[in-house]
Amino acid sequence: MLWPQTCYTVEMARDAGAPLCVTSTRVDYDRLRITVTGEIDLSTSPRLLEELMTGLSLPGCRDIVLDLSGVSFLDASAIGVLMRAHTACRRAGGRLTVFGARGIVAEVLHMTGVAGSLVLALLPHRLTGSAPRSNNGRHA
Amino acid sequence: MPELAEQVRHDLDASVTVLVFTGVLGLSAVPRVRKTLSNAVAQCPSAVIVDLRSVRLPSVVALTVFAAGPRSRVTHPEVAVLLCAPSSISKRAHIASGRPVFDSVAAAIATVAETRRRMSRYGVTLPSMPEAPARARECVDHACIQWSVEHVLNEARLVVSELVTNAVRHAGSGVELELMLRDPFLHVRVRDGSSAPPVLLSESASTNVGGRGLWLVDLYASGWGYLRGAGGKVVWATLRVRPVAA
Repeated sequence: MLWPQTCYTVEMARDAGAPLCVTSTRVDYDRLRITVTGEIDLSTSPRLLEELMTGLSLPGCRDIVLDLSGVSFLDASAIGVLMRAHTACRRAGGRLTVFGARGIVAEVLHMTGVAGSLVLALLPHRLTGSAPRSNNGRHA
Repeated sequence: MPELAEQVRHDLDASVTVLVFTGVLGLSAVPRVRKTLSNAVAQCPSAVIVDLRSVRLPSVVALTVFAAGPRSRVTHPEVAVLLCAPSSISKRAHIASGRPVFDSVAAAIATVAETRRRMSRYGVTLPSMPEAPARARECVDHACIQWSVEHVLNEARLVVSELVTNAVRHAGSGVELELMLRDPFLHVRVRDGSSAPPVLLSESASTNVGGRGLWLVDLYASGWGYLRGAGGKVVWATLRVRPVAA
């Protein structure tokens, strides 16, 4: 069955906090791709968590593919959100895949050990800050 | 004869640590004084002020303990050490220690404040809101560009973001951020109204987000610590901006 690619959420940050844009696309019946652009911190991580949990509550949705190639900054509050989403995906019988992280974002994911617990597709030259390889998140 | 006693006070407003000694400062007390001074300097205040006005000095030679830089600049920014002594011995105290000598703590603090005004320094008070870390990172952007230390920008943004996040989460008061260029380090101070010490959790144990945040600070900063004083605490971190000249 071919599942139509429906883009159902685009959310912009309020003025004062960090800029964040989250776009969710149903790429398959059981898979949701969430593209994040901006900075994930104390002010924006609750909205990312909400987006992840909303995605997982969709009927049939078990896997989430998180595209972080547009994320220029994340801190420990983001790590907390990723860990919670990871646990929720596992509980639903699926998994959370993160890809596209670069520069200090990739470094922080690795340093905090998140990369070990998530299925994390990172660039070979993850510390150079170079642009991510084109990847539509449809890897197995 | 009364033994040497010490009292340590952190003045968070002035960014100074005041060591008040009372009793007899003989040569036998020197190792202990050295340790106290070293501990105070290790927390990277702008200055350590040593109050010797209530001390009995059998020999001025003991004051040479204040002469040596107690910390290597490889790991710490330079911390000024200022003495307060009665005018009768101020000249000899200066000769023995090589440190400036004042007749009151207030006068010493005023001198430190003047020095702080002249240094590369950036201070801002942030509201205790979830948006505070983002605003703090903007300050880091400005400061790092202005001081031409963009190469530590990413690390500095992360460290500051974590420290400000902790302050917002736990303190609920206004958060004061101060960035200083203290060659060869960028020195970050985040002050909040809570005197509860920050807790560093191990990596594996950090289901707690705050603990993981501090773990990142520990990872990226050259050094960090905290000072508890009247009305709250300061958590500080240093980031090396250039290698130390040989």
